[in-house]
Amino acid sequence: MRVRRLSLRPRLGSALLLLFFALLAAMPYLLPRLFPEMETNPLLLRRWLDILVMANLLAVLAMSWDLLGGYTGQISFGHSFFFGLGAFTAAILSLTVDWSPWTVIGVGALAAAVGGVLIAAPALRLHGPYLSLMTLVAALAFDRFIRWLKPADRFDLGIPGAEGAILCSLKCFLTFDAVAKYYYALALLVGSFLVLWAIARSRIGLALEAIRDDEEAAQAAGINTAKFKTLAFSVSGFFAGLSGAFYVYHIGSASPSYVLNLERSVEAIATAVLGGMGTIVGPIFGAYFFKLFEELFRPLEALRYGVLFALALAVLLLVQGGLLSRALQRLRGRDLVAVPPSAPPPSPPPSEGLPQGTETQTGTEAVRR
Amino acid sequence: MTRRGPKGSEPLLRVEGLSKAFGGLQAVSDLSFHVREGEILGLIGPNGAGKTTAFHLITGMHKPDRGRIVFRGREITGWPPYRVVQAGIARTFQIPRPFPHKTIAQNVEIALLPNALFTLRGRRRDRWARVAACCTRAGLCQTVGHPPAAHTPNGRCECWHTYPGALPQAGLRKLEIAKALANDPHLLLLDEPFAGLTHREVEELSELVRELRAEGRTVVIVDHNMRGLMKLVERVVVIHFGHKLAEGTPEEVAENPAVQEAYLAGTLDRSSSSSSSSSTLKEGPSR
Repeated sequence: MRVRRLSLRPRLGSALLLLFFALLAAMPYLLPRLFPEMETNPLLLRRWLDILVMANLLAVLAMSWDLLGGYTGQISFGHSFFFGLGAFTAAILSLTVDWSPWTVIGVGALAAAVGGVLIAAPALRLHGPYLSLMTLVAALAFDRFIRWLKPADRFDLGIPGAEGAILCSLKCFLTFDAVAKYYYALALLVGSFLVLWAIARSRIGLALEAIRDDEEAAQAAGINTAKFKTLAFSVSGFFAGLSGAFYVYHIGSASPSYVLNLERSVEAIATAVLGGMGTIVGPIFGAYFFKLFEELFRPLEALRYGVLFALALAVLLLVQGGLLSRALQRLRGRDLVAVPPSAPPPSPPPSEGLPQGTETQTGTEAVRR
Repeated sequence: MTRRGPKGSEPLLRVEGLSKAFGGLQAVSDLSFHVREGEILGLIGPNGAGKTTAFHLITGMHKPDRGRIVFRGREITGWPPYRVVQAGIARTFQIPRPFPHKTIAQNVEIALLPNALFTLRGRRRDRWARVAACCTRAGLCQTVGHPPAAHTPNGRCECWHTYPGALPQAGLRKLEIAKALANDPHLLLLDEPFAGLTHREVEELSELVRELRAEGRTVVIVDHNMRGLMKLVERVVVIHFGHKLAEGTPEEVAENPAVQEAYLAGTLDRSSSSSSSSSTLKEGPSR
């Protein structure tokens, strides 16, 4: 009976997710029906579809962060490095070679995957805060390097923008059709999700989780931790780069002040935290929440980011694991997690506890004096 | 399934002149000993003598400063931990280290995961069959309240639905052993498997160790208290301040004056009936 319940509930979850994807697929038709002003003003519809495209891109970036941070426990503060690497590779390639947009975006993602391997090499020797700091500094260094390099000026690429930006809007565009672009972005989201989900749910995902929970125990269990960590870095880099490369083809430029901004890293983390770390599916909802909040509370100006990040902080403090996974945990039934019989620790005999207590008391008093 | 060694004189594991310092602390210095095929060896010594460090060095978790480790005729010094495991050495931790967010079965499955990214071997169905075998072997199914005869047709027991947090201390030790067994080791290194267990649990675990030896596995047990080991081990190596102090049968070692000195005399008095590890004399001076 329990076994049946175990297999049924995830199916319920997948059904809900499928419904969500179907809803997204229907958006270009639903939006004008729901908001009649969009029917009369196609620019408004276009604007909202662009917002949803950005939500999809953020979702892909946050999912890529989640595989590395949530699943493998390698907390990256520098995912803008991968996002920017994919973006700049795509922008430069779009201006220099005559490849199809999809090839360029794919190569941009591959470049970010290679960047992931490069980051992994020193990352294998670092743990915890040192690792996070390293990724942060790497992203910052790449940002400053591009600003100094000014690739557009130096190599005569496209139209130079401020602070080393490359404007490639004539070469790097997918389509003028906003609806088609929306579906491309949705396909990117669903495809990335399926691949990352499959990895997370496979034996590879299990190895990554073992590394996250206790790296030394994972080693003792015979897992080649260096290999799996490198894999996590490169796969995460690939999808972050994919998101960045697609962004360039969405916006028409690659500018360090956006694609290499550390805010991209923070957004990715906040999104993953809001949706639930270590779930892959959570960041999708986190990203939609983030982007819709950002748009709906536009009157709040910069304050809305303050609210969003404060919310993420609250989730970290109160519902570790995110709102979604807490809800899913409820749904899947916590009864499957056996609770150990509560055995209160035996109280120490007073003859031993008392002198100790007085000793420490006099100790602190001595310190106070 | 017996795996008595084909090479007559060559020991299963040979440790030669092993040294390791952490900063100014010489944890292991010039330590040499060997493990014979098919024996149960006790590696004992007072707390901080370097027993666990020796395990870390053998399993590749630390790189030795000097010395050689030879396992089944192959030098494995400085190998990464996963290769040592593949070579046939598995270990348990002094303080059990389960993966808390994974079920007991998944904990064991983690030890069975192939390292290759793409492989046809190690299909999930086969892995789960091995998991079931290991859980049963280590007595985990009974610990989680599953009668031995009541397995489901696919061989799964309550381990598939129970998390390590529900296990008592003895159960966690069994889980450690099940994880180690999943790697099908020739040599099993157990780090203080009896600490904090009741007399009955110690007996039960000792019986499991004997059975594993009968299967042809070689076992090395680390403990700071020899009393519990006396009936189990055939040979003892005593470590003190990082080097070998004595070696021999439990009786010989217990009579050794240098060993008695190291243990502040009398700790190794095995005529005492209580085998609870809390009554070692090393705790004597602190009382």
